[in-house]
Amino acid sequence: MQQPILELQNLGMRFGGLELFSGINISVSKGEILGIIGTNGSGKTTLFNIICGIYKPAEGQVIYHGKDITGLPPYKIARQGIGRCFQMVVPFESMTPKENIRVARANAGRYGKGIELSVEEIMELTNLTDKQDITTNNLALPDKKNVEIARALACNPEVILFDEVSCGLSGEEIGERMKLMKQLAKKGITIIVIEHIMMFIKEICDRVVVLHAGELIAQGTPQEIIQNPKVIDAYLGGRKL
Amino acid sequence: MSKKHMLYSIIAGVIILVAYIAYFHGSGQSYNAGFIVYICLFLIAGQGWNLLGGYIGEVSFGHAVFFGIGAYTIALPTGYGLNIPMPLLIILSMVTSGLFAWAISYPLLRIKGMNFLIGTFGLGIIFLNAFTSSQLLFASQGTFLPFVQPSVLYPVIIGITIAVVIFVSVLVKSSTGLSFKAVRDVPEAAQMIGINLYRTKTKALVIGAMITGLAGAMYALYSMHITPSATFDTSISNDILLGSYIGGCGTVLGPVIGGTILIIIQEAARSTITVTGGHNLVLGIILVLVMMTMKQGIWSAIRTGIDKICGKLSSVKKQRR
Repeated sequence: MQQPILELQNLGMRFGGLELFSGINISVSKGEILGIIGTNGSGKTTLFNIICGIYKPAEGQVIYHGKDITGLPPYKIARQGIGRCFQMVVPFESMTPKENIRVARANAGRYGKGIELSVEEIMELTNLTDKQDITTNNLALPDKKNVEIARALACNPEVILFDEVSCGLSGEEIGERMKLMKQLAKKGITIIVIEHIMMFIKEICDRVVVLHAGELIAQGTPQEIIQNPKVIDAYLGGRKL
Repeated sequence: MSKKHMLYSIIAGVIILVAYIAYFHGSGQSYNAGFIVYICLFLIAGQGWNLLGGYIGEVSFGHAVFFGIGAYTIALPTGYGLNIPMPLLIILSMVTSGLFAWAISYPLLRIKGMNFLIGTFGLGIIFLNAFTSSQLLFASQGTFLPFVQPSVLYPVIIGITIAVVIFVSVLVKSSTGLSFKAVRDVPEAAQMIGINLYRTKTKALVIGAMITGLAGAMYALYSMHITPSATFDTSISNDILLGSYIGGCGTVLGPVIGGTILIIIQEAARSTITVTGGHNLVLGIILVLVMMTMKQGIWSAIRTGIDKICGKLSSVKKQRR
């Protein structure tokens, strides 16, 4: 088995007196697509916030390339090659898609040791070639989501965290995102994706972890996960897929 | 420069020119170079304020501090009888303002929003009172500067104004300027692309302070006599901020248009309304009206108007085809 690129070791998080989760162990290898599923409030986005340095975990460590990056400021983590796309889409709206890419390349892109795609390649992959000079504020939601993906790619990342990228998109648009993620994984980018749509998870993920009520209740291939009785009970509402 | 930008610039230039002509013609003066230079000083200071207030989004109510430091850096050596070449003093004014901004950036930029605004306001009060009460700094009487021929000084100030506007328009298009906008648009996402929020804000504060300090130095040379109330007063911060807000924050031409209009309105109201406080009443009414009808400022309203006209023209062209 490949050496993991990113490991979450014995991770725990508390907000005040409320324990969100504890003892979470997850690892992901280079070029792998890892899915994270779980009910609302199970701590999926919090996990991303810990990886990115927005939150400091109450316990445990985040190991990236064998180095402890727990508690580093977010900009330093981004410069090490971890990119992120948010659940609530947040491109830099006052800029054009091209400027969004330029500013990312001029910052994290100067340090990222991951996959370096040219600006043209990024535009093409994210279907923004024709819209590169339109102010992002005037773009539709799917294009804004693409701008965010393009911006993450411009950081020359090794790992990208996608938080519910399918939210608010049509079936066709979700299909395009799935295709894009597969392409990125083929290029060697590691992808961690939070999703609620099981078809999405089944189609693209190599491995899936399931969070429920502060615990990691299952881990395995998508096929193993959808047949796991604990997952069926906790996440799929008692119905088999 | 794209055709659209060129069109914008020409229209902005025409508006400013018309405003000048209208005012000077109306007041019976054919030409008043001194007044134009006075406006230029506020345009320079407005560009400095706009880097932090408009492009980073941290509204400062204390930029008079940098204005005053710039003015005093050029005036104090003369007050103490030191003979330092004027160009060197102008550069020193910028350096002193920038260094001071850098020194206060650590505590100041760790607060934001309304707290930042109040904090900078407080800073202005501290400086006004410290300079007013210090005999070493010539207290409230202030100090005098040597006379510089207007035929030399005015073209220099107008040249500096143009250079500052060009410098800022290049800066905001560079990756540094884009980082400023990223921090303003979504700070969390800016961090996710490797932007150090504190360092980026410091950069905007220091560059902006240097520009505002330059405006202060030019003001000192222009007025030949400076006092704490003429340089550190809240009304200076007020005018710098209002000019940018009226014109449009976060745009290069916003402070140019806003600053020009603000100073012209102030002077026109002062010279035509004789009732005590009447000119401030007119100014207040105009501010309320502008902010109610043009929330993003005058320049933004002009741009929207141009976009609409361009859109209509292109649709007429398509129909003809």
